[in-house]
Amino acid sequence: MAAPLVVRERVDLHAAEIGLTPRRLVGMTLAVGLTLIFLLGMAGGIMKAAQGNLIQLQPQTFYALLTLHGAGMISTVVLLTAIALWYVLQEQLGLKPEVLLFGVVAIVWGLLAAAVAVLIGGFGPAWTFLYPLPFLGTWPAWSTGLFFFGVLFVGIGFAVFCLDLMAGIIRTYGGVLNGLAWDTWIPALRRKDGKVAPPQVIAATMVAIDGLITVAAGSVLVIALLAHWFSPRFPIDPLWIKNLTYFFGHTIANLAIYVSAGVIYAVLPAYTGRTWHTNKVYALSWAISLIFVPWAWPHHLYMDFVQAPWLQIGGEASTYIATIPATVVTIFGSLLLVYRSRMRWRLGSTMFMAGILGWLVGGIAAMLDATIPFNEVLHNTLWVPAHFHTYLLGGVFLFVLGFASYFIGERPVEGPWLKSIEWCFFTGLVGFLLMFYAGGIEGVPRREAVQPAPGPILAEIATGFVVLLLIGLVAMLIEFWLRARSSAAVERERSA
Amino acid sequence: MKTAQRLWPLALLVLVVIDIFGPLAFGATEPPLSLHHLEHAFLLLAGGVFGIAYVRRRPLSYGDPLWLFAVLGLGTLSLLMMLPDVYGTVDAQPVLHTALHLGFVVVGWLGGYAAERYAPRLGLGWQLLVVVTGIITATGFGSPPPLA
Ligand code: HEM
Ligand SMILES: [Cu+2]
Repeated sequence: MAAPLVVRERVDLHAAEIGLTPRRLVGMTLAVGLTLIFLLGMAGGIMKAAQGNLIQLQPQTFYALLTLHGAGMISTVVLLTAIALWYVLQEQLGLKPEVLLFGVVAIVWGLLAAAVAVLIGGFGPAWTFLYPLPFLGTWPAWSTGLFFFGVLFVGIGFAVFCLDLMAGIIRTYGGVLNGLAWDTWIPALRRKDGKVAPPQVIAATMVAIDGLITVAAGSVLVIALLAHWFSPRFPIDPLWIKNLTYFFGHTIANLAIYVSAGVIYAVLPAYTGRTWHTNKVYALSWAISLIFVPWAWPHHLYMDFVQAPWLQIGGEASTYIATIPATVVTIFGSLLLVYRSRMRWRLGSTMFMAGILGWLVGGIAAMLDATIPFNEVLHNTLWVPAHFHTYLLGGVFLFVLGFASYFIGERPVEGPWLKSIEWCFFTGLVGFLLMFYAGGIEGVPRREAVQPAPGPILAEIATGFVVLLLIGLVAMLIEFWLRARSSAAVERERSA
Repeated sequence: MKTAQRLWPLALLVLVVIDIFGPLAFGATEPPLSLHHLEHAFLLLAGGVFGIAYVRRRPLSYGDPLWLFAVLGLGTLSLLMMLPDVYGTVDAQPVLHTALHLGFVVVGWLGGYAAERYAPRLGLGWQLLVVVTGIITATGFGSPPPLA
């Protein structure tokens, strides 16, 4: 029998002392994260401009920027989606801001370390830092080590988020199986009070479990790389570490999508006036994702002929099995939520619906690429950044913007200023993505400072779209800032 | 039911003790690296079981975030203890090797304990970390490429 619970108050007092409220923590993190996205987006624009021969960049500089952009964007998006999911669940799960603060600080430190390694040290083996490249480049050894420490910190920060989420879920629902709503299938698990986890909690439970598995893989990876860095005698099997790198890198990026699904479940109802309900189908779909998401990574290694065939085939199958059910229930669910509801079309809801479209399109493009016969043609072409920018930039990041808009508070009426921002942003976004896809179809390789034709001309056009995209983004950030100021003023008035 | 419940921990304890003192009994023989990683993961896991069971006998409390950070620190420490360089140093000396095994049990115990102190049943999260790192290290942590 479980002993009675003693809830400690000390922690709350501590949080109150330093004035750390959930809103403050989330507001600060959004400010830092969105600024980082803008800066890293600038780096992306500079890369495009260099590929389009609009500016001159040393190849080393290009590859360093590529590394910073990839690692930085993924970590920042993980941070931003995590903070959003945390915010929508914190009250219900009794999560404490000072715990997450530690996670946020760890991730930001990790990002800083990576930035120093790249910008000062010139570390540039791309964000996947595939062994042995990090140890062979023109950059100094300290930058290699510092970058890996940065990755370690990002992993630790994410682990804090996952463990604390898991703790909150267990505390509120009695166990992870209830968090996954398996009680909809297994009567023995049903709670006496009839409480069933809502969909956002199901998503959070899946993320917490798979997140911990991913971090465990990541920590073995980073410790092995750091050990080799410290003492080159430490042997590394390149295929083993490549598998592990993708286990970690692919899965953590992939999880950002599942984190965002939780945010959609929680926030979209605020715009449609209808809520999402857990049912058996949700529980089953998420159970399938839980089991198969950690097995999809081998689709990155189809070209590695020494890889065991069962991993290749298992990876292909898992990609499909992991992706389809949760995607379908979420997309159908959101359409049902919106259909004939009196949806309030505001910046936030527009971003969410556009993001769902991006998720769908990017997902289909990704599955094509994860299918072996297609992969033989598309592997390492611009098709790859095309599909992942579609669901990361055109999906996950839009959910982050939607959440930010919801978090700060929508305007009662949207004027022409906002509409023009949206047009500018989305024109830039779609054009930029289309140029990537065009390059992929033409077989232009990814990750090249200097591309064969028609790469340069496509990059030149894409640069124009990136400018539009970034202008739209800055305008949106200004809009957020203005709104945050006025809502802070309202709050001050209220409390006065 | 009752006896089975008492028997389990006892059986586990016996296994752990045999494993801890194995190096003293069998001398400086070294199992293959993968197996050795798994063996150590087992010690961590078993330590965790006892750590968790120990907390569950006390009134539960939702603890200080420091417990959570302890979990992360212990996880990192356990990986550092699995570096083959460490094995190389201790394998030649059964006493050191036994000490290392004891260390794994202690770290596992502390990890389970700390996790449960942070939040009841979070010990499962710690055990999940131990199992996954154990399996992954066994697939090649510190092994050279097969043809090298
Ligand atoms: C803001 C607008 C963005 C622009 C202009 C941009 C631009 C670029 C460019 C030009 C590349 C190099 C493609 C190549 O030739 O291989 C790239 C790669 C990449 N981008 Fe973006 N991107 C943007 C947003 C994002 C976002 C939001 C994410 C993730 C959340 C992201 C993640 C990545 C990753 C992971 C890579 C691969 C890096 C590598 O190959 O190591 N990007 N991006
Ligand atoms: Cu041993």
